Amino acid sequence: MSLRRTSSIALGTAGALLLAADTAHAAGGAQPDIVGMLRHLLNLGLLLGFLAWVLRKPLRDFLQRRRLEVKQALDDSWDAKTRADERYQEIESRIANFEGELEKLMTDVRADADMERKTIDRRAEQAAAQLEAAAKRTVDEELRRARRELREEAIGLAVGLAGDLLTTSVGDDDQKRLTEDYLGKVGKTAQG
Amino acid sequence: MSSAVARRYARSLSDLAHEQSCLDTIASDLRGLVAILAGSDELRAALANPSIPRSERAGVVQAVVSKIKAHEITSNFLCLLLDNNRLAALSDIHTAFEDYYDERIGRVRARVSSAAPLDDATLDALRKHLLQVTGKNEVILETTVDPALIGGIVTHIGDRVFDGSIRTQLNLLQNKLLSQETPAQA
Repeated sequence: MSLRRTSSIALGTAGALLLAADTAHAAGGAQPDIVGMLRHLLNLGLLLGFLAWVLRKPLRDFLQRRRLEVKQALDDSWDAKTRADERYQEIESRIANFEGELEKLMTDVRADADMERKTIDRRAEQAAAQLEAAAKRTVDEELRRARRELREEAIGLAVGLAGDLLTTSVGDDDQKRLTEDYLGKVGKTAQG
Repeated sequence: MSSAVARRYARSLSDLAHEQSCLDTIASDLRGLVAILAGSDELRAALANPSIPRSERAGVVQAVVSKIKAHEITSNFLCLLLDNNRLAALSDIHTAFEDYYDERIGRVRARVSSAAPLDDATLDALRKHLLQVTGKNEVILETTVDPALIGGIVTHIGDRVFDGSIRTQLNLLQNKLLSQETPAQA
C-alpha cells in the first residue's frame, strides 16, 4: 500500500471520529436522539464506504494472489498425485513382471558369460597357435644350426684328413711337379 | 713411432742421398747401424734414455758412426734423430728407407714360401718370371720353407700373391664345400 493511500485512510478516519465526538458532546441530554443516531449511522456508512473505496484495490489484489496461490498449490498437488500414481503403477508392474525380468537378467548374464568364454577360448587358441609356431621355428632353427655345425665339422675333418694324408704322401716327385706347374702359371701371368 | 713418421724420415733421407748420389752408401750405413743396435740391448737403452745427457748420447752416436765409417749424411741424420728423440725408430726408418731405395733403383723384394727347399734353377726361373710380371730391374727373393703348405709355392711381391700351395687348395675346397647348400638347408 502506498504512502498516499495510507494518508488518505488516516485523514478520513480522523474526520469521522471528530465528527462523531462533536455530535456526542453536542447532544448532552438523556433523550434518544434520532437525528444523532442517523448522523452516527451516516458517519458509519461514510466510514465504511470510505474504507471500501480505499481498500477495494488492495483487497482485490490480495484475493487474486491468494486465488492463484491456491490454484498453484492444487495443481502441484495434482501433479504430485499423478506422479505418485504413475510410480505406483510402475512399481506394481515391475513387481508383477519381477519373475520375467529376473529370468531375462539371468538369460542375459548367461549369454554374456558364454560370449566371454568363447572370446577367452579363441584368444587361448590364438596364443597356443603362436606358441606352437614359435616353438616350431625354434626347433627348425636349432636343427638347421645343428646340421650346419655338423656339416662344417665333417668338412673340416675331411679336409684335415686330406691334408694329413697329403702331407705324408706328397713326395719329391710331387713337389717337383707342383713347382713346375707353379712356374708355368706364373710364367703365363708374366706373358699375359 | 707411427710408420707414417718413420716413412717421412726415410723419405727425406732417401731424397737427400739420391741428390748426393750416395744411396748405396747410406743404405749400407743404415744396415750396419741397425745390426749394431739389434746386437746390443745396452746400446739401445742408453741412446733411448732421456736421463743421459744429450752430449753423452751424441758421443756414443759418434763412436758408432766412426766404427762403421758412416757417411756424413748418415752421421747428421743420426744427430737429427737424437735431437728429436727418434733414435728408437731407427729400425722402422731403415725398413721404410729400404723400400724407397728399392723403388729408386728399380728393385723389388719377393717373399717366397715353399713346402720343400727350392733349387737354384727353380729360383732363377721364378725370378725371371717375376721380373717380367713387375717390370723391375731386379727381384730379390727372400725364401722360407713352410711345411704347413704341404706342397707347392707361395710368393708375395708387393701387394700381389701367387699362391700354388696345396694348403690353399684345401682351404678353397673347404670354403667351396661350406658355401654349397645342402637340400635340407635349401
